[in-house]
Amino acid sequence: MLARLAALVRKEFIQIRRDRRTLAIMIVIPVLWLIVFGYAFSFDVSNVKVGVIDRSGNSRGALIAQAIKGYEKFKPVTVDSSVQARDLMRHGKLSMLVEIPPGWGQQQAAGEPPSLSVLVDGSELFTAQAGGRLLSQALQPIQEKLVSEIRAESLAQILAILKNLPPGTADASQFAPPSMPSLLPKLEFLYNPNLKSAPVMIPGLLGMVLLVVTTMMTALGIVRERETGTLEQLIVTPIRPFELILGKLLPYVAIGLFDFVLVLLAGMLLFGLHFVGSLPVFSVLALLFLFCALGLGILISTIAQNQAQAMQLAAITFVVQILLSGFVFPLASMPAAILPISYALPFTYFVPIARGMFLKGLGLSDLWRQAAVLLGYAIVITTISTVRFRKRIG
Amino acid sequence: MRQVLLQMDQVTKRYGPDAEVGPLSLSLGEGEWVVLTGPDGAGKTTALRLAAGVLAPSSGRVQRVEEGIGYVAAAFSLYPDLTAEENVRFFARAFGMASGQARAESERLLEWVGLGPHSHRLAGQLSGGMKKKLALVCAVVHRPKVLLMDEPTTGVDPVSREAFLALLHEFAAGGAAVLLSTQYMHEAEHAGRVVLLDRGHVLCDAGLSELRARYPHHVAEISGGSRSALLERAHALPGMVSAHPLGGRVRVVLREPVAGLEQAAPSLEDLFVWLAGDESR
Repeated sequence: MLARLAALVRKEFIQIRRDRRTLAIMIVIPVLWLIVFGYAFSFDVSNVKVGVIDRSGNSRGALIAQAIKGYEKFKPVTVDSSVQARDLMRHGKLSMLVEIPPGWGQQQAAGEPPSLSVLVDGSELFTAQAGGRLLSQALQPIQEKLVSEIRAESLAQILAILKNLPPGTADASQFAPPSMPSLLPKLEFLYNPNLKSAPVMIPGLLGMVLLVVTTMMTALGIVRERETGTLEQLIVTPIRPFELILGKLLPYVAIGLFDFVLVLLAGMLLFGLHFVGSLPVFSVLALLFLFCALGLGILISTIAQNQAQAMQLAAITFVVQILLSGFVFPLASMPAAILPISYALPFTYFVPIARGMFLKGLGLSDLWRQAAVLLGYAIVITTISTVRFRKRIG
Repeated sequence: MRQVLLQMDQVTKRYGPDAEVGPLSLSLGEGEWVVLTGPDGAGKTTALRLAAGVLAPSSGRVQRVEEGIGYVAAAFSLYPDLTAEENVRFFARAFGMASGQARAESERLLEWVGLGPHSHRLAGQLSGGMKKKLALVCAVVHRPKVLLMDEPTTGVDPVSREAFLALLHEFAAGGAAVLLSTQYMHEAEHAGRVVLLDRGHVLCDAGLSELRARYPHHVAEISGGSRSALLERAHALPGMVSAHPLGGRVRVVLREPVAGLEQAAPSLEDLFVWLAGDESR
């Protein structure tokens, strides 16, 4: 049995070696994705195009306007009117407009004090979300400054009143300006202090690489044997179905693991990521996920009749897994009707494992549920596909 | 008594509600050489695939010697991206041969069929005839007791075809049974037995000499003159069944022998036309 398996694996490696282009693709894909997901496909928003219209007519308004325009993550755009601002937004030249209304920041005789009005271009989703958040950050130092100004003013007023009172009524040293609770929270982000995309995307990318390389190549490999008629020839040999499957899988396991290490090292060296969890445990869990991906590949090969169909089916499973697994969009934002699909996908369980171990240093005691699901998945899917894969051509 | 190496009992294969091959019954004994022939769509490929176990029968039973089958499919079905030698060695190993033995046998067999100088060429780049020879080598490398071949000589030039059949004879001389399908009915001359298939059924299964003895008609060949003149002459003969040109001659099938005509042995085509006609009657 081992001799037959060795013959299959050897044959597969010779074929992979001769198919230089596919081999190149299998190595280039992970690197390409690393660049796309690590650099280009970034959710880190900076350079938000902001316009400010200051109608306050006072120094506080001017201070605010200056703070917004000078904030490092904003790119100031000169805007004269809100009509002009809307036109600029329509053409994508402006993402956010801050209007400081007349009389803002002054004591009002009656009624509500006017507030800042902010207009955001909602068609740029990530920019819109980040813009609002960044505005608070931009205003934080000013708020502190304004608060201390107000405190100083209040103290001066109190002291002035005290001065007019008969001596001995009150001791000036007993009075302090009112303390104001800060309404702007001081945010601190754990695990990923600068909210960068790369540390969050790259752990998941490890799984995505395994998924695509192994699912696609396994499915194509088996379907190719059927298409070229070599399966017909193999059926006559004493090779058993599970030997045939194993012989197909092992070389792609090797390539998948090679890609895995490639992305892992690149993530650490190029993006300065630190793996804080246990690497051996993570490797074992990644191997479990790898078997899920391979099983999926075999399952596809038992359904597809030719390589084009296999490619299509594999692509569908990737897209669904990438979009619905929580890798790109958070599960929390998905409608209830979609969640059962998400939870039926192995990648959904790998993403929290990868992120949890990579960023938070979680261990098996925290992630055993996900690990158990992956184990079950690997067993079920390889069993189903091996049963479905019969050594017959029709 | 000779050992039966392959036994098919009432085997059928259904492809759809009104497409069925069989029931086929066939047995193949040690040292036998059987040719499976018939028109296109008669079920030759299906019969061979059922015999090889590549197709599962819809009903009936196929018994064969375990691990002793060599099978050559009609289409080229080796790995085009492996060299000739790598293909042979892979199949040798797949059939359980030890590494050293696989290497030695693949070298010996490639030399035997004349592929020695091409052993390091990719199989996909070999010529049509070379591919057939390579397929034969891959099928016999483990010395099977039964060799099943689906149209091994189709698309091979006549010289190579003769050489190929000679190789087969050499292999079969070692006591193996050979079942091969062919469109070239004269290849049946090599066979001890002929199985004629028509529309999924066995029309006859007998030795060529036995079939010829049962043939009720007489075959003659006339020559000398233009084709049209010869055909005219043939049609004027008493008891003429059919006549068709063959090179510069005309072959005539007659109900009764006609004196003075050159007698010829009935060809497999003649036998097939007679048997198929019998069936439809």
